[in-house]
Amino acid sequence: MMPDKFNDRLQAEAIRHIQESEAYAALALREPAHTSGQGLEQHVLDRARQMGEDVGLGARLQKTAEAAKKVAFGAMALLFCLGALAARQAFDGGQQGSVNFFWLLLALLGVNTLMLALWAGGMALASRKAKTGMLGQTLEWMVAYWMGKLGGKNGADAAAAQAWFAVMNAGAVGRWNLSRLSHALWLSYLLGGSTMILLMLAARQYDFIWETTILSESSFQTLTQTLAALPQWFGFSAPTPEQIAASRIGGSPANAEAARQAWSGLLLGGMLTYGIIPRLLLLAASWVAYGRARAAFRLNLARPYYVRLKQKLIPATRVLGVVDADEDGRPQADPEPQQAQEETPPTQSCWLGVELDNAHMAAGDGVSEAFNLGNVLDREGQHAALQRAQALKQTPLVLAVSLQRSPDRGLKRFLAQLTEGRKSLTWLELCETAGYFDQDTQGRDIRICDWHQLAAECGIEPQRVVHRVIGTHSEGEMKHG
Amino acid sequence: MDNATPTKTRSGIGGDPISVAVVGHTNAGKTSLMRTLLRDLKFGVISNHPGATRHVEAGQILVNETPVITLFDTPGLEDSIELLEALEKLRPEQDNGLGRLRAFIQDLDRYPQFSQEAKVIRQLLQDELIFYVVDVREPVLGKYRDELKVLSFAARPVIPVLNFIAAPRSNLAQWREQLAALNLHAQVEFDTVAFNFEDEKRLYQKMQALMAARYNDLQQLIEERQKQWESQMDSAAQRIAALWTDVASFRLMTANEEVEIQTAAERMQEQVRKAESDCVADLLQIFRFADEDVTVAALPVRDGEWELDLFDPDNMKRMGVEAGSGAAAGAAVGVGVDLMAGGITLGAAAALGALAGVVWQTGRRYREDLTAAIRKQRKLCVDESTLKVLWLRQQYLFEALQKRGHASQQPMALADGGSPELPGDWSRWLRKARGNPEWSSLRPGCDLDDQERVAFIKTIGSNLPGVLVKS
Repeated sequence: MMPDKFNDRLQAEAIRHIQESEAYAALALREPAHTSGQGLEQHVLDRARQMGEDVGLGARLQKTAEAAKKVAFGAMALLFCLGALAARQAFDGGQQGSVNFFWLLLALLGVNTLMLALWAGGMALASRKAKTGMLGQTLEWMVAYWMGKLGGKNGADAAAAQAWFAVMNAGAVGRWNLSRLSHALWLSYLLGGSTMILLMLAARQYDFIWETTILSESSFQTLTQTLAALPQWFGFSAPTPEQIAASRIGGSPANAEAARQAWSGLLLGGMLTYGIIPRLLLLAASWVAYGRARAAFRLNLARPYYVRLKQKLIPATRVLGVVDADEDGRPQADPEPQQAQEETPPTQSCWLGVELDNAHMAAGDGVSEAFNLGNVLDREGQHAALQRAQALKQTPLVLAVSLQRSPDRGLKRFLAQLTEGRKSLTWLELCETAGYFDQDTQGRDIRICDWHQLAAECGIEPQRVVHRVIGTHSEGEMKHG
Repeated sequence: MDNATPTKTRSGIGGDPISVAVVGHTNAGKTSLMRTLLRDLKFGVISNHPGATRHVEAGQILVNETPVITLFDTPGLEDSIELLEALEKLRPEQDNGLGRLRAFIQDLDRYPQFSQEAKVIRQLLQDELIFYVVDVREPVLGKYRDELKVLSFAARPVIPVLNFIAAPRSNLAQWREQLAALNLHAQVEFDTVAFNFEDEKRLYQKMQALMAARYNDLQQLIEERQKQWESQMDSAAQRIAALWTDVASFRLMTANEEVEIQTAAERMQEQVRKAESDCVADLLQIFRFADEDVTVAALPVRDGEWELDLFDPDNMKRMGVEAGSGAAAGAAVGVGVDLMAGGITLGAAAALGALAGVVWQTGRRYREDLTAAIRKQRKLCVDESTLKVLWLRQQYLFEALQKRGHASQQPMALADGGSPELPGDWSRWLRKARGNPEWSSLRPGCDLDDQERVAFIKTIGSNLPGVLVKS
């Protein structure tokens, strides 16, 4: 058999209740550094065990359970006495020496039977409700009162008690636990009543009578015989039709002694078969059902609380950290924004596009064929451009780049090769599609800084980094939107 | 190659975790891909500056605590043109791509400028698979073709990951064509900023196609991630539904005095505000946008709060919610708070339960109604317009979080003028919530596990967009 995990689960639920309730925020539970187990539930249980240890939660839950047990026993004793008192009251209510049999039976079993019916109805209804009625609430209140009296106000105890009741009064466990309690209480009441009846019947002499105003005698005959059927089956005596007829108020039975015996047999038999035995059976059944409910009790892991916990306990990812460190340690300094006055390149300049978008080729439109060196897109282009630029060494050179492109080391190398020996004659033109950076002006500023830095590293003077917006705003939108 | 992977910690489901090198041009979004796949807001360094990642940093994706994939985030390839030239000039004994890469690594001293690229190449040689991250906003330039050529030297399967596909200006078609020309057909569109779970699934499916031996491991991973995603969605939807139920069923009793009503209304607003910000914090946590030391500033929620107060009348304009009839009464009471119509609401079943003493909570409710009637108390509740704003705001956040990649740096602005869609059953829900004040956890003694409440929340939650209704 699997070991009973109910208490572990109870503890996990208790931790949840404590963490979800703001009232116990002061009860700082420490999240354990490590949990182990197979699957989420095991992790959760392990976590709860570790967290519970810190505040002695297990012992406190145990304490609540003990207190609940004591309260239950106290209540049972009380109801035993109440049952006895009720029986005595019923016996002594009528005329001296004679007892109205049906009135007595109603007084002893009536409330019990009504409550039994309510319990049955409640169980049918309660399956839709998580928390079970007054009984549970009263028990909780009484235990809280009891524990408060014993241990004074203690946050951890109160939290444990509340959490214990939250589980023990809820769901199938709660239904059967409280059913158990309710049957035990009524059983005590009935046993108290029966004991008192036995005592009264043993030590005193009563004549059993019945009376009616509107009912016929025959209906009482039938009623008595129907009632007697079950006790008779158990071997209890029952009055004969003659005895019943003779027991009507004012009547005088032929053999009073035998009639008394018969009626008291029926009384005790009725108590047993209609009161005690059903309650006993239901108590046993509830006990079994409670045990089953305990065994079947599971944490609702679909609860947001546990879903969030899962992310923490069974991470879906983990970071391993740096596995191949950068030894150069090049500091990544944010370049300073440049505020230089832009200097327009001379009209008689060579123009070279570097990795320009098609849309940006327009930047070279006004340049005459002889000076237009085209757009460099790849390695071959770079070689060709370097050769042509070499031939035009004395001519100023405008390098057009897209602001959409981020400057990388490859571009830096190429630009440095181009500007080699003509540093004072090179311009860098930053082409920007209108509207491209509308959503991200900060990104644009950073990009401009990066290009300025690259220009500086290639020896291009800051005032020779110029901007050019290509296309109108609406044009840009039309093309790409 | 004697460079043993230093990170093979535990064996995977069917062996070691699959090692994947995440490579690409600088700024293409390698670290963003890592963050999104690892659901980790803090992984690595993301910057608009090129070359933010200088180290090789690793992370793992696990299934039931067992790593299935190890991802290596590499520095960007910055000068592939010169790198390729250098590689082509090498004349190794083993005259093929792999031989060149190995010879290059052995002779690194000759190439001080390639210390970053060397790290990439080391990973290419060690790992089983390559994710080549492409910024599709870029034209297909020669340097990118050269990068692909260098990758081809490694003789490893390559999955091009097309990033920024959601951007308005993309060269997606050209990239597709170019990659296909290089026989790279297993492309995946995966926007690290605009997240789509189906794309992530497709990425793993492409891996399955390329690594038949690891099919089952990857299948488990896909199923696990699917489960995670669904439970995440479900959990978030339930959270929102619970908030709405808490607020809609919330009522406060107060003496029929103007001052007392005013104080109660203020208390009510305060409680509702706090409930909402708790919910926002939970949602961020569920979608893993909250961490102990990371606050996501780029949300319309700042430090777990919406920028605009829930009771700010501007909300209604922004959400397109019409001010209800309660607004006039609300103005007298306190913004967003209504005086409830009196009278006792009796449901037949509930009344029976109360009568039988079975249902304590229900009994309490009638007692409260009766006391209110006898003592001439007033009932306060949150007005319908505010409830609409509350619902629409959470719905908006819910949708936004689903689509947000963990690398996203853009602020999440509340869209203006969107047509608000309230669920069809809205009025029925509202009646039901208002009729069950015991469902509100904003007042003490609420039974959170009450099954009717739980079922109600489930129903409402399933109406949020994107939530699968499970039978």
